[in-house]
Amino acid sequence: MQKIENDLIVDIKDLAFQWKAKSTFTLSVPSFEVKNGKTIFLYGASGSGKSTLLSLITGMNSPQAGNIWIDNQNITQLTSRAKDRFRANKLGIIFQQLNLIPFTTPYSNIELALAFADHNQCPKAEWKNHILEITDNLDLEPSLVLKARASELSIGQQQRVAVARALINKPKLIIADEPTSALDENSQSLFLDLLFSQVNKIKASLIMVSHDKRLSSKFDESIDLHDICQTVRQAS
Amino acid sequence: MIFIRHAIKSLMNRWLTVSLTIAVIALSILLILMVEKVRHGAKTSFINTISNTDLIIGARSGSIQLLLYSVFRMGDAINNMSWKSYLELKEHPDVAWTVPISLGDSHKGFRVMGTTHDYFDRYKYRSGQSLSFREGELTTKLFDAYIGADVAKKLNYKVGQEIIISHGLASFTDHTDRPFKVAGILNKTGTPVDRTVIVSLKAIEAIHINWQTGIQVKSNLTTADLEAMELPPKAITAALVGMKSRLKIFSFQRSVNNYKQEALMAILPGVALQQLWSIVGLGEKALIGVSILVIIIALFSMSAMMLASLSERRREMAILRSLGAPALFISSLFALEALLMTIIAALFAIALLYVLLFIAQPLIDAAYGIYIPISVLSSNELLIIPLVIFAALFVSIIPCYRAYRFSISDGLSIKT
Repeated sequence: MQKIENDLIVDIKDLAFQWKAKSTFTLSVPSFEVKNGKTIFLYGASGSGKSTLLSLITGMNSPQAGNIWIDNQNITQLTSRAKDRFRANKLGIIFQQLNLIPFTTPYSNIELALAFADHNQCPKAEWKNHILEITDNLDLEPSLVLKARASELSIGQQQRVAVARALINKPKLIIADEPTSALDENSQSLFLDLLFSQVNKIKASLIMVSHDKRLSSKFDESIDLHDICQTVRQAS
Repeated sequence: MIFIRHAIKSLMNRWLTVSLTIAVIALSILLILMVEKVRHGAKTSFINTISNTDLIIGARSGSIQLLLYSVFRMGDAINNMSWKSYLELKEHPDVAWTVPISLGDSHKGFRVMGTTHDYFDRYKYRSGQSLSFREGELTTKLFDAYIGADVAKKLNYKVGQEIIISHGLASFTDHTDRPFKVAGILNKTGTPVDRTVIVSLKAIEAIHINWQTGIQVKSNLTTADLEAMELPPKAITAALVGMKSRLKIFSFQRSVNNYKQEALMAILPGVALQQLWSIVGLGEKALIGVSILVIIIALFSMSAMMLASLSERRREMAILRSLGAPALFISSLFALEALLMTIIAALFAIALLYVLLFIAQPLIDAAYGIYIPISVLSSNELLIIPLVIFAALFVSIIPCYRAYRFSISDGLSIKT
């Protein structure tokens, strides 16, 4: 399906998806658009299909029908290898917790993200400076970043390393799946401020999924998952 | 490099299970290398039971039979060769040297061999090593005996000990009237010489004077009388022969085999030893078979360990996937892990092999007469390493495939 270039970072049309193994669950998204540079708060309770929707946007699963354009690229037409490369270069993903590979340093965690992306974005010789610059922006000590094991960090520090790793390749779109759920209220707010400032710096778009509506005020737009996608669970 | 470093860190994170797995693989590789080394050492020692002797001549029978009784002192000669034929062959222009040996008597279960002093010069083992005395020396006395290391150890004999030789191999008649004195004890050789009592050919004749078909008739001759006498033997059991030129071996062998006056046979000891090894060496194949099985078991246990680690690594896998790692990359990470573990195990095995050889070499040589040279790995032994690595990659297909399936089905959802 051809499409005129537009100012949308995410553009989903007539999406239908069904898990092959668990075929009682279907998800359909008639239309979902996110403008370039916007920060979106996606409200969704558990079981609302948010994991499935994120797996489709990140190219981990392919829909049975419909199209997903990310940065004007129809990812449903990509091979799985191309989807992996697309994910490495264009997307930054932050999980709710346990974001980091625990047995290695924060530095190595971030370095892996660079290793999977195209190297012309950032030549290898500059990796170290680049990593230390971004971690410094996120208030992480260089000694901590270089020496500590990721598992030794506090949850807050771990989430900030996760942000650094998600942003290191200057992606167009950041997907954050409940990144604050493991933090206390005070840290949540600080974390979001840091996240926003970094996202703004590289002019990326942000989609954050959460069940905590109080956080939505900081975002450009707040969307209820129920309004854009329909899930059907059939009794088997 | 980043990915190899990641694989190493990941292995180190599970160091306990990983090091146990490496130990199992290393021990299994060590086992097969050890078996190879010992097998090779045993074979070389066996093939080198007699060396530098070009031909062995005896009465016509089978080549292995002749080898067995002349070199290994096992079984009996069905016939002797006459002293006349021996002298005639000795004079052959192509013959450099000959050593006659005469068997038939025994001492407390050990064979007694009559020969000349030349035996000590000409008999070589382990590619050219000569017999040497641990105690005592060669003498010219008629009733002096030289005993092998095992004889001395078993019977607890010292130089100067008087011994009585029995007539025949399992008889109750002893040559009590002619006692021998132990004049020398030989160093351990790992050959049948260790289990032999060596006396002079003339002494064998002397103790049989006045014996008629196994019955002793009293003799009045003194030792001095006997020493003065010529006493040529009527027959000997076999002769070791060295040729002037190795090129003449086959033509001389043919002429012995076609010798008209007597039914004789000449054998090449090396060839006969090879034939004999192909019979007695059957065990080596069984040993190798068992060692290969042990390696297979070790590799499967590695595969099982990797499968077990899969569930605790699903988080790591999901994170790598989120960073853009293809599912195939995840599974090749497992193959890399198998590769690293096997290479480390192989290096450990080789290091351990040399430590063990260094410690065990003199002990094995002393106890079994098997000399295992501490040398670089032979091409055969070196081939084992890549074969094991290849086999390791092969069995790691199972965890690799599981990892591939998991990383596709899990996607980004982290299972802990």
